[in-house]
Amino acid sequence: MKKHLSLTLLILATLLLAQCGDGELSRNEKQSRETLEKEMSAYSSAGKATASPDAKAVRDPAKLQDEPLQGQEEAVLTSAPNVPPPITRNHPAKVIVKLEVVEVVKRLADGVDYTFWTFGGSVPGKFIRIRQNDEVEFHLMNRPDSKMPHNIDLHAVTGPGGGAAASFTAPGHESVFSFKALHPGLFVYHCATAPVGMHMANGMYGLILVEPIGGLPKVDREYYVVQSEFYTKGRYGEAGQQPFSMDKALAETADYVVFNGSVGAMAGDNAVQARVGEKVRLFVGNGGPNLTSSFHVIGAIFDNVYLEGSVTSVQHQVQTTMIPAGGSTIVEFGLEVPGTYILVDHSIFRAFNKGAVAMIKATGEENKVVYSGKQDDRIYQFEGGAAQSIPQLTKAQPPAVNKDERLARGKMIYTQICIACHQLEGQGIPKAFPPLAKSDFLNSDPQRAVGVVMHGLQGKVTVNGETFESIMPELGLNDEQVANVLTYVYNQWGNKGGEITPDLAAQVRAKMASAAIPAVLRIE
Amino acid sequence: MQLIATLSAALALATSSLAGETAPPGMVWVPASSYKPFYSGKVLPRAVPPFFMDITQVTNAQFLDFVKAHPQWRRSQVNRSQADAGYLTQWAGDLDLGPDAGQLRDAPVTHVSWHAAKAFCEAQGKRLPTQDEWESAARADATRADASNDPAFLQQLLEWYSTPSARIPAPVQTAPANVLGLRGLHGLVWEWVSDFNASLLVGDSRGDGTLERRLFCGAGSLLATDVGNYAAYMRYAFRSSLKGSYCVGSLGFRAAKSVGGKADRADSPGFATAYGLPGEWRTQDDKVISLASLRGKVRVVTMGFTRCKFACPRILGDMQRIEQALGADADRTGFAFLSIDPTHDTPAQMTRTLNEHRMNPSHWTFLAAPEDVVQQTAVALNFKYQLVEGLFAHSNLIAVLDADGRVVHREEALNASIEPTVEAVRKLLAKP
Repeated sequence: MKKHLSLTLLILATLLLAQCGDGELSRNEKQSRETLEKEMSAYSSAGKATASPDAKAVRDPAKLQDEPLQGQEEAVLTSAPNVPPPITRNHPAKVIVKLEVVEVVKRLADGVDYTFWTFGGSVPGKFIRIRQNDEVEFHLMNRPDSKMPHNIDLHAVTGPGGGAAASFTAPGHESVFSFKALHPGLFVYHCATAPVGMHMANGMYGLILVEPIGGLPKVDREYYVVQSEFYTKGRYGEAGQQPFSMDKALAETADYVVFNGSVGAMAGDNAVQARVGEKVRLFVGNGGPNLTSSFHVIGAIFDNVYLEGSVTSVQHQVQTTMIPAGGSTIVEFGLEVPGTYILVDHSIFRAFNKGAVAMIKATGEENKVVYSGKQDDRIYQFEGGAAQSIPQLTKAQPPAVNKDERLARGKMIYTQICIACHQLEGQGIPKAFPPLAKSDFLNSDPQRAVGVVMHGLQGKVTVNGETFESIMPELGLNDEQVANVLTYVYNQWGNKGGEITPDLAAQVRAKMASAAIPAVLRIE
Repeated sequence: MQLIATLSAALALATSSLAGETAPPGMVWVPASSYKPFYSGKVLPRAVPPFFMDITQVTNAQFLDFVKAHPQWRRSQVNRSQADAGYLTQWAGDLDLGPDAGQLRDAPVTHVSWHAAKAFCEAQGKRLPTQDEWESAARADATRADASNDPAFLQQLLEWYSTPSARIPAPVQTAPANVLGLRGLHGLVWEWVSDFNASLLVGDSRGDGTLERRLFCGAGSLLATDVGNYAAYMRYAFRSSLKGSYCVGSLGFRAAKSVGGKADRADSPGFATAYGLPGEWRTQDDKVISLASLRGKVRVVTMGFTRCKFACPRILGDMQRIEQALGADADRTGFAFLSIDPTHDTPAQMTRTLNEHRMNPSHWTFLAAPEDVVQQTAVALNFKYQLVEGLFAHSNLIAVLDADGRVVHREEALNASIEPTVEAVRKLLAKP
């Protein structure tokens, strides 16, 4: 508090000082202000956020007086995921809304029950659809078997408590109050009886759409979705009737994050339907009580997002949009290919581990150009089509001083590297890898052997009467290591013995480099 | 647990005998305590003197006996001002518990209004407990006199509040006893208290950090002392939603009795309007009248206390402007101020106030009555008030009553236009 106070004072002081003097902006200030204004107008005219066609009409106060009320009707209320039909009249009317509060035990997840406090019998509460400038006579009834008093705060209402003060209703009673819907938009409503957190946590929220003058653009399908959390005494999935956990609600550690009031409410068999080629609109709310949603439809990009439920502020080509707790959004997208489009909160552990998944099943003709599905499935070879370099596997050591050391080190290299293909006894693998044991190939030409170990080998070779056509990779061994391992090999398994020195290896390396022979020795 | 409860009950009984009075049958002695009211900000804890409390809620069987002896409280006889259309709807008839009689007999009686509950208590020479008495007794669990700091205790209460009401609650004897020997203060039904209208929560509870001054006069700031105690918050909220005539399926009652002093059995008559209520009121001229003598004239009525520095002067001022706006019609209209502060609002004090405001004594009547009479009148007029640190927080009310005492118009906000009230009076006066 104190910090804010001093900051405010500081800002005030700065402003005051800025105004002191001759009261005119300095030239620098004027210039920077002009630059800023230019940038701002460039930004808004770039069409990054565009207003809907009725934005002007909606913001024009004159319109409010212009529209006399005609007629009276009772609002059609629907349960999620359904939405009442669009308003067709082009004038405001008196609308009677009758909403009943019901405390009821229902399924939260398989095997898990919860006592929900609801507007209209389920979570989320009924969808209310009216028109801007309608005058609403709101009846809130609280069932006699309710344990608690309840009320309602509609974010569409401009007035004390959003209606909460006027609608406080004991069980077995009814409250009536009226309001005029001055502003268009998609608004949350919720119970605001003490303790508010608990009433909301138990499911007391829903959406009211106030259509702008002129209505919303036509689409083929409209659906109603509300994300919210539940805090239970037991863990996610723990069976039985779970009571509300105040501690978890305070810590904001939700056990369940769901769409439309329970796990799977709009998934699997409960998925909503659509057809390829249709334009879909989702009215999406976030009842909280605590968490913000990162709303995303897998496989779709939102053509239009009515930011935060405002019908006068539209964003285009959006992948994931934020829905604040106690807020809403309207998204529109087309369906180009058939399949299941999955609604998620992209805080992804909520989707996969807490239930924040809903589905739209789109049927119709495939379009392989837009989305082909899997076209091929092939082997991915680690070695690839040519000899690959294997990075240095052995540690650098001081050179061997005699044959015995050379043999010992050579053995180590052999058992680390060569053994994979040429095997423990140098026997190789028939038809795959040539033998080193009693190998005529090796014994007839040691220099060639040095070249092979140094640079790898590709192409047909005949060893002990058998033909092999495989690839030996370039092992990246230095002269010392080549000498060591070959000395070991020549002294095993009936080979002719002797010693290969690092000097010989160096000679072969130099000869091969200068002769511009390709790195991999080819034998035809 | 049971052993401790029995021992405690026995101890209570023994101690009360030492105090010179045994608990009447079916009641236990609740010792004196220090209780910090939930909604009183930084005030010091209040002393709650010892009293007797019924061990269990009143049952349907007991209430049936009551209405048998007092026909004015039978379902078909009762006036809608005393009990709304939900009165005793769980019964089949006036004197018939119906097919569920077996279960209803020993279950707490519900669907009874405050007025009906009060009448029942008075017929036994008892009374309803006050909010302070009820809340301090209900702090106890099976082993401790005050478990209100135990989160496990509070969580248990929250769990009960979040399960739906049973159609017929369990028999009162099955509820476990707390350390004082009282059964079922939690877990069966909500319970009426005599001053339920001291709960001043507005319908919208988010602004209730401080008092909504348009609706209520604030004596000091009313702040919840412990918003972590959701259980108390919910009980307070529930009481705030009630009116005296309300009958609710999850709401019953039990009786209390003051220690020392005899309370006679009283037979409460039914009443159609506030003018039908019993009780003696003293005017500014020290005349004793009953409210019935206010019949026959259209009246503009408020309740308050003369020491009020905030709202009452403003309300009285508004009433005088209404008086002026009526012109000649004001001679046919009565203006009444009913005091909620009998201790200070003596006839002399009330006369002083009348003179200070330069009121016309032929139009104006100031009235004071004993606390319980005032309380019942306040409930009948749906007026809320709470004593806080010697001053009152109360509703801001200007009501228009017809010649029979029916409330035809209410203005509940300060600074509101007087036009609708003037209009309401004119309409009544225009009737033949």
